[in-house]
Amino acid sequence: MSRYVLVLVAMMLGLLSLPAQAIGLEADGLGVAGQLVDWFVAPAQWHGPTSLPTRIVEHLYYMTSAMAIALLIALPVGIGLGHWGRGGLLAINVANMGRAVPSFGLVILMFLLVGFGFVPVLVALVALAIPPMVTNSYVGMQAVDPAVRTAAIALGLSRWQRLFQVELPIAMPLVMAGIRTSAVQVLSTATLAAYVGLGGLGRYLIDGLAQQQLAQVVGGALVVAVLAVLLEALLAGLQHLLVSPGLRREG
Amino acid sequence: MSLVQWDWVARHGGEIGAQLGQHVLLTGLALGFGLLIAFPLALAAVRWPRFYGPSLGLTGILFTVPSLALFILLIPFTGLSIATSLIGLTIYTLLILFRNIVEGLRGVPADVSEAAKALGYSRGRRLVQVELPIALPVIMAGVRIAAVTTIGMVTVTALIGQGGLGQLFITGFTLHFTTPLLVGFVLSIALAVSVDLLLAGLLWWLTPWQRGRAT
Amino acid sequence: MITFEQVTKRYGDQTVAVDGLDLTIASGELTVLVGPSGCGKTTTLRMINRLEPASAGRIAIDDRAIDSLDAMTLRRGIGYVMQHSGLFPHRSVFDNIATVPRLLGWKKPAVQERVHRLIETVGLSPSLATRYPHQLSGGQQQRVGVARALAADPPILLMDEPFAAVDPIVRRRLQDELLDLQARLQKTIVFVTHDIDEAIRLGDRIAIFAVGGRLAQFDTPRNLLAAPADDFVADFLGRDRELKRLALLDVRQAPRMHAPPLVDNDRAVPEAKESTVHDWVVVHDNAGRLLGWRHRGASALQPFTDTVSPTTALDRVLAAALRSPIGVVPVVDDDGCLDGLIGPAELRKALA
Repeated sequence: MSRYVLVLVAMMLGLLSLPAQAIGLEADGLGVAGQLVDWFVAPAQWHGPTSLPTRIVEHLYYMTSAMAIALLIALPVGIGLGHWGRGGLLAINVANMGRAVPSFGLVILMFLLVGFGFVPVLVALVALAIPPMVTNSYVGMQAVDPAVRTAAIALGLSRWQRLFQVELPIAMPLVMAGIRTSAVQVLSTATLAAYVGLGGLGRYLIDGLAQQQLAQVVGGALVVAVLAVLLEALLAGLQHLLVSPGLRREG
Repeated sequence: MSLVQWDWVARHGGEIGAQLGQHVLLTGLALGFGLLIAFPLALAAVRWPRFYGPSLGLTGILFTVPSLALFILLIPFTGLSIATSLIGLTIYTLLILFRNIVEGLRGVPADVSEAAKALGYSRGRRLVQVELPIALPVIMAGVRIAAVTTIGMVTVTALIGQGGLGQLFITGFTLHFTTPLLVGFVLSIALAVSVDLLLAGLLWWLTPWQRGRAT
Repeated sequence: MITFEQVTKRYGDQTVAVDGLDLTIASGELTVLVGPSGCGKTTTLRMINRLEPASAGRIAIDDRAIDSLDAMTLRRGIGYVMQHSGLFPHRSVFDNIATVPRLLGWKKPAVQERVHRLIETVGLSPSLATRYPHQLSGGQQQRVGVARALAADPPILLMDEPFAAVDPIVRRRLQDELLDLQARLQKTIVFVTHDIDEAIRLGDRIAIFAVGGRLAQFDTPRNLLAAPADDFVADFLGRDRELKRLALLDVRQAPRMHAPPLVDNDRAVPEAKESTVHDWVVVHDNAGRLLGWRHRGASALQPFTDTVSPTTALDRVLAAALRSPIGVVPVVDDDGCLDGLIGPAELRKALA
């Protein structure tokens, strides 16, 4: 976990040492670091509908609702396909295709087709989140040693007992890997919700770019980045709790 | 109203072509630079295993940083230039490629390396003639993922003034007009799928000993 | 008792794995199914706990058809050990062994007591209970596999090439331990192997299968080696099957040398009266204790390097006889008294 902290510190230091005459967007002489501090401490940043806490809550709301729906779809499909050993090629190919779909385009496409609102963004985020979880859980279930499956049958475990007591725990590292990949991608792509008029941390990025306010843009990006790293650390911790020590083969 | 107005497509053929060209260029450059940097790093990580754990951790964390955020965090240094897009994209390819090259080289069976050593290969020739070919499938898997991911990510750079086909998304959004959006969307997917197939074909051609095996 | 009546197993494409099998496996015995690969021995084993359904015929345990039981209930009452232990990698040694007792709803203290007893029974250190399978050696994993199979004290134990993946020294030890275990537990064990030596070593009875799922012969190891039913069985037993037979017999089952040239050291015997058939004599004292041997007429007494006891296996006797300078080995009983001589001729008679 210490390495996460290290990276965060490094990112902070890197930003604070930014040259005052930052290129591209206008900097007004205070330097980016100073502007950033101003941006963070401004009272409007901490109260009201456009404040940082509100934006973070909005952002997390987009992410968690998309992930909840995607989990309900992807895990049963991936785990089921892996358990019955069918449709694997389909699952993998769909996931590969999924990677080829540009999420930015998908968000705008859904917006143009459905109109303004949460639903088009949600659809795009869910579509983005499903493939990694399907593939990973499928592969995880498939990778369960056939000898272990046979042993479970021979010991007299029922189908559900085999699934939940043997196969799923053994597949858990990969299932979790898929969830982590999806969650981080969804968190990242949720910034694009702002582009089609919704809230979330993407607002700072989109508005800042439009209004040529470097501090807002960089500040928003920084918060998103920190949030992503925290989420990844949180999920890594969760994985550590969920995966049996017997499956860890550390050196 | 149909989703695609073909006359618009016909009138903007040149623009579409140019954006596609920039898209390919950005992808190619990012992949090229990524390979160029990832290779020596990976070789070092294989040679000095203590370096591998930390560097993998670091790249893993950098990879979680949202692409748009990364691009923007580069703006203070490089402005709204093509360099910003390119550096950001390269960092992402680098992360994928580094991991796969290391895994590929570490996956070379120890007895094969030993045998090559025993036959009298020098370190360099052993790497080029024995270890790299064996690691190629894993490395190529990384190149494929990096290529497909990058093609998708290029579109995001439209928000900081680059973007290739991503510019068509923005045109579609601002005009509330599905035609350019769909053209960009479909071309982007088609580009990703064909590059992926091309690389798969390249691997097939480069590794005749793998054919007929399940991969 | 497990009975197979006209049991046939066919796979989809009409491949016959087991063909009209009639077999009765006695309770409390260790029965070995042996044969070349593709002979249906593993299929036969797996039909007992319904890992494979039979295509035709009837399989019964104590006259109760196995189809009349729920498959899971059936399996929980039959232990199963396989080649690659099939241990659950995400569960500790303790939890692996506790699997079936917990499925059967045992109370916690009962499970605990049972698992700890089994860990000892199979010769594992109690400190291994909290380890995970990947932290164990191959031999230890196999022992845990056996303990897991025995956990609910099933009357039947099925073992599918359980020792094939461990090295020969560990295998030998595991075999000894299994015999030891069986002497105490008296389970009905069905054991599959492709190794005829293992079959002879372990089996109370051996069923030899031929390719195509035909039962070629079913008998005790001794009877098999003494009278192979056909060329296939004879060939499978190997050209050294007389040696294997010797290994199953001991000195008590062999005759002694007829009219051996024995000399009581305390009574002087004129040289003329010594045997003229042999150019050596074996010397003992007047209490019957072995002293050594000497050349006829000579006085220098030489010790025997090897002597055998009444319980020595006859293959060892043969080895000792081949080493002996006079071609025979003295038998010395538990009281240290000479109990005759055995040479190659007597071994031949023992096999006759």
